[in-house]
Amino acid sequence: MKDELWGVILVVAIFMGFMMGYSLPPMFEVGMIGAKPDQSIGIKTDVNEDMQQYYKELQED
Amino acid sequence: MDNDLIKKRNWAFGIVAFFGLISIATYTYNEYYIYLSVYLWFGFIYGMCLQYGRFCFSSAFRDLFAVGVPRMAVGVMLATVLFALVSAFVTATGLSTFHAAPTSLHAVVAGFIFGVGMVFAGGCASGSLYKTGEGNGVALLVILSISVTQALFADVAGWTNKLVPQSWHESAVSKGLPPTINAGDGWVDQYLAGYVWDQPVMTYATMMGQTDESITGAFFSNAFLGVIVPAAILLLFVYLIWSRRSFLRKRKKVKENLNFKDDLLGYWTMIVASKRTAIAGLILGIFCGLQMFVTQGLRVKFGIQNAGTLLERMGHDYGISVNGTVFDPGYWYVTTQEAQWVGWVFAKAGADNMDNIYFGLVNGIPNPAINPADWMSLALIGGAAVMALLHNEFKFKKPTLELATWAIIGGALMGIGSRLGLGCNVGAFFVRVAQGDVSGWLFGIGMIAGAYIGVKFFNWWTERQMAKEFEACDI
Repeated sequence: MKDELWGVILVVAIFMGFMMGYSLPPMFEVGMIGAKPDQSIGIKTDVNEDMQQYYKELQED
Repeated sequence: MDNDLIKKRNWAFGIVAFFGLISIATYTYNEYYIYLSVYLWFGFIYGMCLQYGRFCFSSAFRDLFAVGVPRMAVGVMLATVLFALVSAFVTATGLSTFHAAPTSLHAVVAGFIFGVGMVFAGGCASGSLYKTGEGNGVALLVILSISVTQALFADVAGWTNKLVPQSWHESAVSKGLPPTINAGDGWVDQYLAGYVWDQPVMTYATMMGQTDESITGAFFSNAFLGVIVPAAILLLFVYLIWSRRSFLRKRKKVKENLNFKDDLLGYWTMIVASKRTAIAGLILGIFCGLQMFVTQGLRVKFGIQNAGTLLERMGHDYGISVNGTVFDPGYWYVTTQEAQWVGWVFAKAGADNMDNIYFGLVNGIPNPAINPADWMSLALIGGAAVMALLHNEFKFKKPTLELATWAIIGGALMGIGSRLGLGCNVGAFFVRVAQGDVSGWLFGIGMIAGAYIGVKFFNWWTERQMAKEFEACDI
């Protein structure tokens, strides 16, 4: 039954590999994995400096 | 290969193909289902590991206290240490999905009730799952009993409100929970909101003034001080009480003057004797950590914090809590999903059980067919069945009336213990201890004490029964 068990392990590994491949790239993208120390960790946005200032002022209000 | 083995092999492949088809078909239907498939395949791996390592806390303590065989207990302890090392790595990377639980004496009491129950039932929460996969009818009854008891206990109200201390009631009401929850009604609600939530949440790292995510916090405080040191001390006790005498007796046959080195050798021999359970524990630990990684990645990808949002996006809004959440731990857990499916059945039968904290505020009662954690438990049974079938260890076993009675009583105690301790031997002990959560060892202390009392009671009961039978024979 050893070969059969390896067959099952192979099937499980294929599904696991797919799921790993599916879930890891988003973490690289947002900097949760592999970000340099000087990089900010967070989801990339198109918010420019003016908008950031606007949001800051909004919070202060 | 004889026909029986071929049949078993085909069944094993059939189960794997079934899960594979579910994953592919649901993913093709909607991408979000991959979130549920993650639970499914990790559950499948847990099932295979549990069956391979015979990973059962009940067997571990029963063997130790009843017949003095420490192998399984040592294996469980080693597995916890190995899982702690993996957990430390995951926590240090900042990707852990774990949340520590409130710490107080309630964990000891809960662990005690759970410990007595698991000895009565002949299997802990995780052990009963893998044994069900081996075709054991008693284990299936235990799961049913845990499930029903939890679903009933979480919603119990009426006369039990009179047992609630006034301070709990006042504290629960003052929490300002949504009006649909009615925190001032129901024993468990007032226990949770009025007492448990007021207790401190701490890990060994936070006690030392560090963060869990720091290297020293994760590896030194949580893993080394919180797990490795206490485990080594516990193993030393086990060696001194149950293993030392027999080892030294054997050793004396080959060496006349024994010294401290022989004791060290005996300690090491005891540890390596539990290889199978330890290997299972290591694999469990690695995959428990990996599940956190994968779940976190999918949460980022789909922009969610809880599977409840995904279910709503897919159009399944029935049974989602008032917070929009469902039970979605992101790691190995056993009992809550068991309570949920019975809760769902009760709700479908007309019960109003969404007015409590457990179901209504936190975990919800989604349809079991789309409940992520239920996918994990079902796949766990499937994984254990595949392993048992491939090793020719699968056999349907019908419960006798006596065993069924103990299974129901033991399962009920485990259900109550799980709700009081916010988890079972996996969620409240194995996972919490490994993550450096202080409440984990408190639950463990209670569980070991409960198992000891359970074994002593069982011995007394068996001897009494045997004496009665002998008396009957004499007549």
